[in-house]
Amino acid sequence: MTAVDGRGEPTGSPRLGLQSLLDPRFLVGSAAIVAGFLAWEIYARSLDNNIFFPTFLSMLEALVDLVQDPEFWGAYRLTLIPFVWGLLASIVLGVVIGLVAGLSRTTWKLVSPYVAFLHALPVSVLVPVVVVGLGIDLVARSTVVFLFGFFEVMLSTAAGVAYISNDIRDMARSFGMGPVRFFRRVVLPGAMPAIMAGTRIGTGRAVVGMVVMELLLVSVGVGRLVARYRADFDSPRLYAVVFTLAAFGLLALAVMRRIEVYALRWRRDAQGAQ
Amino acid sequence: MILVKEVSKVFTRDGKSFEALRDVTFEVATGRFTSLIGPSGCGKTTLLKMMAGLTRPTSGTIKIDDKEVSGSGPDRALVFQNFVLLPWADVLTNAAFGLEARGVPKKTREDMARWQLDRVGLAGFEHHYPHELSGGMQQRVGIARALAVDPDTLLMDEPFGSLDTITRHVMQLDLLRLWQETASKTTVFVTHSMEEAALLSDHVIIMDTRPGRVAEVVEVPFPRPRDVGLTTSPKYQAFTAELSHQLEQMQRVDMARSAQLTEEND
Repeated sequence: MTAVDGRGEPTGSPRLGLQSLLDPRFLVGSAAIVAGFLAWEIYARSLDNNIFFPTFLSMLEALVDLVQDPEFWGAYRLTLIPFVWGLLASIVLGVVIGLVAGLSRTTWKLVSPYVAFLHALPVSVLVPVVVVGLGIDLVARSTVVFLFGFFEVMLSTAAGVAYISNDIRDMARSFGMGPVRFFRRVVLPGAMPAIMAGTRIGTGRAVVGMVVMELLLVSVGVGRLVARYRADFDSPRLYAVVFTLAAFGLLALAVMRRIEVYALRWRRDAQGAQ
Repeated sequence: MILVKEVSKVFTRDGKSFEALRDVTFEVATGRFTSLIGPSGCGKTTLLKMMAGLTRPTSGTIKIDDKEVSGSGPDRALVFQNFVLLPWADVLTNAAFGLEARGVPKKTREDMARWQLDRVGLAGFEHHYPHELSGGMQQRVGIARALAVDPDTLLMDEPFGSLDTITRHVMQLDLLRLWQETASKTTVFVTHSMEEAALLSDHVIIMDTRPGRVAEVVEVPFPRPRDVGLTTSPKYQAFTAELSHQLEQMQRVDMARSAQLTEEND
C-alpha cells in the first residue's frame, strides 16, 4: 500500500485563550482598535464643545449607564422580537423554497421572475409599502426583516442544490437511490455550504432591515431611543446606542459563523481558517 | 453475459446531432474481464453508461443475462474516473453508500463496507474524509463502494485515468489480485492504456471513432493467475506493442480524416 495520510493540521478560527492572546494577528487587530479609540478621544477633546461629537470616554460612560437602565433593555426587546421572527421566517422559508426551486426546474421558472425583480430592488423601497399595507405592528416589522433576509437565503439555497454535480447524481442513480434518501443524504448535505453561506449573509441583511425599520420609519424600540437622544443633543448616549447596534450586528454574525463551522465541520481541514 | 446488439447513439445539442455510436455489437462473457479501448471520442464511456442504465441507446438493445437494461439495477455497480465520493461523508459512509442507497441497515452495510475497505488496503482510514486521501486512495474507496453491493457485473470507467503513473501501476496490480481472488465478476473496463488492458483483461474490444464502432475484438492470450511478472515478459511486450501500434494508426487516420473534413467545410 502506498498509503499517504494527507491530513493537514487543523486550522480553526483562533479561540480566545492565553495562546491566542499572543497570536500576532490578534495583537495587530487589537492594536488597530485601541488606536482608533485613541484617535477618537484625542480628536473629540480638541473640539470646542462635544454637543455633536462626544469623547470616547463619555460615550463609554453613557454606555455603562445605559446597560443598567431597564428602559434600554425594554427598547431592545421591542426591536429584537420582530428581528427574531423575521429572521426565522426568512431562514425557514428561504431554505424550503430554495430547496424546492433548486430541485424542480418548473418551480424555478415559476418563481425566478419574481425573485429576480425583488432581488434587484433595494429592499428599503419596500418598507413604506409594507407599512402602508400592514401598519407598524409586530407582523409588519417582522415582515420587513423577513424581506431583507429572505432572498439571500433562498437564492443561495437554490444555487447550492442546482450545483450538486451531475457525477454525484449519476453515482446515486447508478446505485438505485430513491428520491427521499437522495434528498436526505445527498441534496441536503450537498447544499449545506450554500445554505449556511446564504443564512449568514441573510442574517447580516436582516440586521440592516431591523435598523432601517427602526431608524427610518417606525421608531418603537431602539429607534425611539436614538430619536430621543438626538432631539436632546445627548450625543454620548446617541453614540452609545449606535455602538450597541454595531455590537449586536457583530454578535449575530459571530453566532451564525459558529453554527456554520459546526454544520460544515467535515471540511474544516480542507478549507483552513474560515 | 452482456449482449450489446446493434446499439447506436445520437446526441442532439443546439439543433446539431452527433453520432456517438453506430451499430455496436459485441458480447461480454460471464465471469470475464473485458476492456473497451479506443481513441478519445469513440463512445466507450457512453457505452458503459448505457450498460449501467444511466443513458439509453438511440436504437439497439443491451441485454444482461437475457434481461434488457432499462435503468440502474442492483446487479451492477459503477466505478468512476473521478472517483465521485461524497466530500461531506467519511470513508466508511462513502464505501457503504451503495448499500445505503438500497436501504440496507446501518450495522450490516458498515460491516460489509469495513470488510471491503480492508480488502482494498484502507483498513484504519474509515473515519478520514475524502479530501484527506490521495487520488489512488480515493479510488480505492470507489472500488470498495462498488464491491460492497456485491454486483454480478462491475463497470469501470477509466478508473485509473486520473492517477499518476506509479500509483496507477500499483492500482492495476492490486485490482488484478483483487479480481482474481474474488469469484471473478463479469467486468467491463474502459481504458486508454493498452498495457493496462493487456494485464487485466481476458478480451480487449478495440473501438474506432467517427462514429464510434467496434474495430476488433482481441483475445488476450496470457493464462491466469497473472502477476507483475507478466509485465516484463517478452510475449506481453510484443502483444501490447502490436495493439498500441494499431491504436496509433487509428488515431492518425482519425486526425487525417478530421483535417479533411475541416478543409471540405472551408
